[in-house]
Amino acid sequence: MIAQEKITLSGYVTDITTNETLIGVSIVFPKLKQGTVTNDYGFYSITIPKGNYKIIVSYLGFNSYDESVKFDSNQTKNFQLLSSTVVLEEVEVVDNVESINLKSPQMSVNTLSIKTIKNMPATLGEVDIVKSITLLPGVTNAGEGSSGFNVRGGAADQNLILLDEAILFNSSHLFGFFSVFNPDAIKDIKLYKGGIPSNYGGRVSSVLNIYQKEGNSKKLKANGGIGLISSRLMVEGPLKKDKGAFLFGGRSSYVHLFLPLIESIADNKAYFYDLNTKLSYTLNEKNKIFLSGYFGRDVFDINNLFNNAYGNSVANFRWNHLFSQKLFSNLSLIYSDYDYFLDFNFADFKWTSGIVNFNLKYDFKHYLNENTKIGYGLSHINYNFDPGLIEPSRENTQVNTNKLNNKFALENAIYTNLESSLSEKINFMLGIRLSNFIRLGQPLFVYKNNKAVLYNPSLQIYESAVPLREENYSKSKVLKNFFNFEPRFSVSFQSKENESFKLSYNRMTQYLHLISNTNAPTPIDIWAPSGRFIDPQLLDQFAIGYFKSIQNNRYNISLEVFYKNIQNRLDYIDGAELIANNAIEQVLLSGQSEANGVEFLIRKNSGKLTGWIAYTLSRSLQQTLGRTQQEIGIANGSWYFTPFDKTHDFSLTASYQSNSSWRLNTNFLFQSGQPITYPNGQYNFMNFSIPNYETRNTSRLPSYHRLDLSASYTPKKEQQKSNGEWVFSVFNVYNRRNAASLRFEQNPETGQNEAIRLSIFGIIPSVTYNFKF
Amino acid sequence: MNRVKCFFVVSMIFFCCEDPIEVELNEPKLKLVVEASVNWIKETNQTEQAVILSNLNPFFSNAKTPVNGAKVSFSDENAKRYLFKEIENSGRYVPIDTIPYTLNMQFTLHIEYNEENFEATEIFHSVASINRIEQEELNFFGEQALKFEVYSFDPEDEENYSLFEYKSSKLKIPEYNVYRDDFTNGIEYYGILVNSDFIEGDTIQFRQYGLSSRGFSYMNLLVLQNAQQGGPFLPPPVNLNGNIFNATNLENKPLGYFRISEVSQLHYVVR
Repeated sequence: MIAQEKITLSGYVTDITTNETLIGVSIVFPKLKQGTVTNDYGFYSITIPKGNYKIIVSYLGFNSYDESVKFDSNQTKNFQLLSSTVVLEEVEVVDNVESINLKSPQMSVNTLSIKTIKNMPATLGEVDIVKSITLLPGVTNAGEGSSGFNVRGGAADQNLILLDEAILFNSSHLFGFFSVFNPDAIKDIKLYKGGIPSNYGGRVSSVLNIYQKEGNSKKLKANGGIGLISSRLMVEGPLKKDKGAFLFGGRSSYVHLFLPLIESIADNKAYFYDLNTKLSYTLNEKNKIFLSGYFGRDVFDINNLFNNAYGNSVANFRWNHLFSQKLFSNLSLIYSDYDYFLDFNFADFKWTSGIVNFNLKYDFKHYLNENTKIGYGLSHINYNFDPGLIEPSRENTQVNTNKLNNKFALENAIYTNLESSLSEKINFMLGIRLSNFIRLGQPLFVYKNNKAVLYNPSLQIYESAVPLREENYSKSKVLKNFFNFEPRFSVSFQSKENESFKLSYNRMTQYLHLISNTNAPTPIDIWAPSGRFIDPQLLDQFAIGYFKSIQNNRYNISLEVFYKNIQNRLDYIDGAELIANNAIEQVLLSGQSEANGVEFLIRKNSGKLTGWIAYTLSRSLQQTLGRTQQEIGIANGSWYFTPFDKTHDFSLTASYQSNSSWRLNTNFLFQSGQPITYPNGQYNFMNFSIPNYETRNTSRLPSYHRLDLSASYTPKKEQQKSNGEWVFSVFNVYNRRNAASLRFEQNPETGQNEAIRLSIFGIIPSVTYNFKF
Repeated sequence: MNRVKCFFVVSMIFFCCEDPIEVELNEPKLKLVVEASVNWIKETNQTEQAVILSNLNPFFSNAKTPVNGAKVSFSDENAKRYLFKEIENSGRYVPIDTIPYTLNMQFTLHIEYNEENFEATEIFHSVASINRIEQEELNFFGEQALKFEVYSFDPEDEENYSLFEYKSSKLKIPEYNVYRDDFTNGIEYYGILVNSDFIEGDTIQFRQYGLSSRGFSYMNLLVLQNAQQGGPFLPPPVNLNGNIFNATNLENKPLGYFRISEVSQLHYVVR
């Protein structure tokens, strides 16, 4: 037998109208039963035997492209696809394009295109990325009016949120009512819940990858929207035709403009704004550079009593370089900064804090041969945590200046990832990540027996230890050095043409801990790096799944089962004070958490009606045992439900294109109530009637459910350059008073004990006008 | 009346609302509640000394169930005993001989009830005098309100903790602030009361109680959980863990606190 001669084909796939690169496009050779998908930068590379073949390039929401080509030498081939803006008929999807996904060992991943997200009914007329992912299986919201999301029973701080590869520490505006991402500037989002590839690390629950658009390098375009709460505008255009593009997007809320109309809150201000910018330039066939920036701010001013501002600033430079047709590389240099400012005029002090990090990443992807790809790379992050400076806000006040110690750390990682196949039916991915965390010097307390938390056995309470002395270590001194080996493994078995089974295991390490004992993250929350008193969180996750494609991928079904365990999950002693605490180790205890569940998803990808139904049955528990036999631990050392335990989580999302002008969208959500602690009695003390509580999190809030509807109307285009779209939406159609929290207290007027429900959003109709020109 | 509530703003903007709802709760187990306090009012020879014993009641009932027939006593560092007697089955126990004014003396509370022995120790803490009151008008979340600042001087060479109390016929439940000298060591500090119901001529009793470090932790959590309104940004409530333990059966820990301290006091007429 003579070995067939092989050639390599590589290139980029872009949108023909804008030159925007497309992520995850399938490139298939049906005759060879071979194919690949484009990477995060729209690049593909595939090695095939010489010969005459039909090649099919297809992508959801775009018209498929096919051609028959004679391949007799290595070549670069770029493809341009045309967006199928209006789907009038049930389009037959050519061939089994998605069979590649069945083949890929990657599981527990969900991708949403911005198009899908924009079709969902919006809260207050604002399309929201974080809210959209809570409709996916295994993802729940952290509670209405609170920022963040929870993946597979994990905490919100365990999600790695990457905006063009830059780490974001806060993903919400106005305490979680809106997410910080301007939908106009976003291309795609991808959420990994498990089987996370080795190029990602540093968080233990999930990776949310958000890709910003590169900008239109064909012509100058603008689009935007005018809503009740905020407006946005995005301009993009060529720097140099077909070579370079710019994108500039801005968004601002203007509720504060209406506040003066209501007399009682006339002096209050609450608003946010954000700016997204991106420059991209193709130097030549082999080199592309990107420069992107993000700047977001939230500002509150309450009667001049309380003044608060916070936000992220991110700048990032990336360089894509092709060493050869088979070796793709990306170098990223990222600067990210999270700032927090509070002026508590009422109590005469102001507070500033922040996190600055600088990140260098170099990634390589080697397309070795037709069925083997190797990725490898390194990452370095330099952190500077500034937990806060408290100073008097005016002269002659009763506050001493107090600086909390800055914390410094370095996080390094090297990783490699092999993707290959054992047979035509069995593909696997094997990854190894070696991570290292170095905590650098700062003033640090020294405790007797190195114990910062003491246990009082007769009173059965944990108390902060009194430090013996303070030791001042210089910034060049290594206080603690951690190394962790993080293996990742996944395999797929394609039992039939249209179905496959997958299995994955991943170990991950999280060196940063969000110090928060509220149920939802708040902007003031503090991040604590691992060090002498805190060990990193270690995750082990197993998942198995069944995936099926029906009617040429018109429908997808997936069923996944997962189990995960996290070591060194922090818990807090009763009455722990977390804000402005310079010795946070004095209130922390370490425990473990565990989550398991089943996720089901059925999705209809094409036709007039598209959408999905997702259902998750899961539980999420935490346990903090005493450190010795004598100690009781937290909640008597028993397993208790985490606030992210939502037994049932059901969601339905549907979009119907009735004719060329109207599109109807709906979603429905049902989640079991969040675990909380109920009282079982009251007693009198110091004139108060004080509740006595049961064991932690043994009761639940009422179930959360709501229905949203929206209709968008696009007037027929009549040879006009500009076109607009009206979006009418109703949030929470049947006006369900979902409880964000329930608290038990004494009514100050009557003295009677009550259970008070706080509910945030009732029914909210809204109108938004979106325009393009 | 209004209390400081950052969440308030957000709620105004986003249509959020609060309402009482009906919730079915479990019945409580029997549990001893102890409210033991000894106050020596500064610059006077007035004193208030009592141990109040009661039982846990269902959450939605306003009942107070006194605990009768307990044996209550104090002992000091020198093992001197002070016996208490109950006032007419009221659950209120008072000393037969007055507990003397002895700063920094450690006292132990003993309670014998239902064949169980309960104990607590606390040191007699001092407190700074109230020097002056400042009154100011301000717009508090859209309402005209009065702000009172109660000033004291923090002694520099010690760690100081105290509890401010505001009592008036205009307040159904007294208001409280806790104080710790982290940010104000050796300088002037103040407790604060904001209220929109006061008018000229109303009287307010300002008091400041000395606390131990444990007393501060207890009162801080008590005030935080019972006097400030909630929202998603407050930590989930926990049970208040006091300084009284059950020497017979550790598991059956009583509720409440034993405090013995100086009190600074000032009666004020609203201008």
